Amino acid sequence: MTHNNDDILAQIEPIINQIAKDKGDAVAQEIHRIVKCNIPKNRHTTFLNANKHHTLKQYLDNIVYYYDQYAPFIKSLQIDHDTATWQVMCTKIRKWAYSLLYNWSLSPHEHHQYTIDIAQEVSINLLKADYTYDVVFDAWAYTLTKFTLYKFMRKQKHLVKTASADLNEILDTLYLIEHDTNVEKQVAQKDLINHYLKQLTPPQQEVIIAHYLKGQTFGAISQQTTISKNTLYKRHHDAIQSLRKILEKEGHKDE
Amino acid sequence: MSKDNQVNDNSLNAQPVDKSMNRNTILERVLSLLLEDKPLTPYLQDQLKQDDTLRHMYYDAINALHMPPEALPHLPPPDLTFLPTKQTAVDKIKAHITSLTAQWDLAASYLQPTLQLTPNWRQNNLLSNTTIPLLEANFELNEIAWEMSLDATLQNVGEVTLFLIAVPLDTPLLPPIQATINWGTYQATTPLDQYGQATFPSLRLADVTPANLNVKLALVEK
Repeated sequence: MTHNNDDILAQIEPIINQIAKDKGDAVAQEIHRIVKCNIPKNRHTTFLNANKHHTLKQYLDNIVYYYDQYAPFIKSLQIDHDTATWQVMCTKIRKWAYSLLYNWSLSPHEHHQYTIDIAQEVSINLLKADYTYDVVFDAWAYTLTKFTLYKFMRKQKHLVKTASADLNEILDTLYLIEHDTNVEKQVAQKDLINHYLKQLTPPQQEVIIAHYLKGQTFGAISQQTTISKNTLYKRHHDAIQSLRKILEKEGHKDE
Repeated sequence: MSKDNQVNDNSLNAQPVDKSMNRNTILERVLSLLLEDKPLTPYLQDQLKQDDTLRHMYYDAINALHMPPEALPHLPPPDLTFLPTKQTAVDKIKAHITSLTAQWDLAASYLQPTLQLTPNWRQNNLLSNTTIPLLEANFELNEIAWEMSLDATLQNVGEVTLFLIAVPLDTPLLPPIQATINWGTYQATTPLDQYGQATFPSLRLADVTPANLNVKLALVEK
């Protein structure tokens, strides 16, 4: 499905008019502005391609849905500068930055200090950035964190990701195993999985296999096992940390 | 992998898009579904399986987004000094009050971050008719205690209207009073109405920044 931007803008006009009737002119104007910002970034294309039944109207409905959900929060964050909202947001950003920094081989002091510095830069960026209202806010803010972190790490001249390379290999093996037809490779992959997974506790193995190998959502795993999602998140985090430690112990960390 | 999605995939590749930007948009969609606990569409699954970088970004994101709170080590409280607060506003506003007039100087260094006078913000302000409080003050004028506030309301791109309200706290009778705003090349004087309100003609921010804003209230002498 290929359209140039003028075509798209012409196509959204009647949809915007309908939003004006349903939600009022002020909301329709805002939705129009948001869509006009998103179109040059081709964000609608990803939505349209994600499912062959997706339409431009659904893309705009999606934006209206997220606008209803997040506009008061964005106002509190970017216009009212509400302290309580910012403290919650800053904690999230710090968690994301801290977790992402595992990908670089940093000393504990650097890891700690960079987390604080990056979180501060992300917060300043977040103050003025334009939320796209076409995905969940946290997913968008996480990407902003990632961008800022990479920029920060380039400035610090940490150009090469090292620590997570082997972890990705293990997760790749689980995630892609069904699609590999090479028998020798499959045997090697099974050895690799057995070697690492058997070093995890059974509950950790369970969540890693269900999520990466079987592709189940945490919600689905929770329903199936009657274990709370928070417990599953904790087990998942502990499993990833354990794998990192095992890899470090085996000398995979390039430092 | 669904064959139906192959067509869509080709059409996506046919777009002259920045690959990394597209990858980030796909990642956002994937994470959006993950956060809403919805299964991935076949197209997104295919993208993850075909693109190593995207998939590794996805692993990073699962860890980061589902990190339990206790996993974050002890860190000092977040530094929120980048947010303009009422306390900084008080610091930056100089008030001069005499028996017949009260005036305040709002420094450009305070106004700029408060109004977010960046081109990006002005063109893409998130909500229409956004009102930003510039000044809130309690003062005494001619031995009467007053409360006043000055707000800027964003009208169009780069354009605001100033709205002032000043009311005496102890007496329902409002003496005749007028408000004058001086801001760069902008100057306007307006009498307060019976409710103590004054709306000033709209102004273009580009014409008044980076200048200090002076607001003056004066009793109208008969």
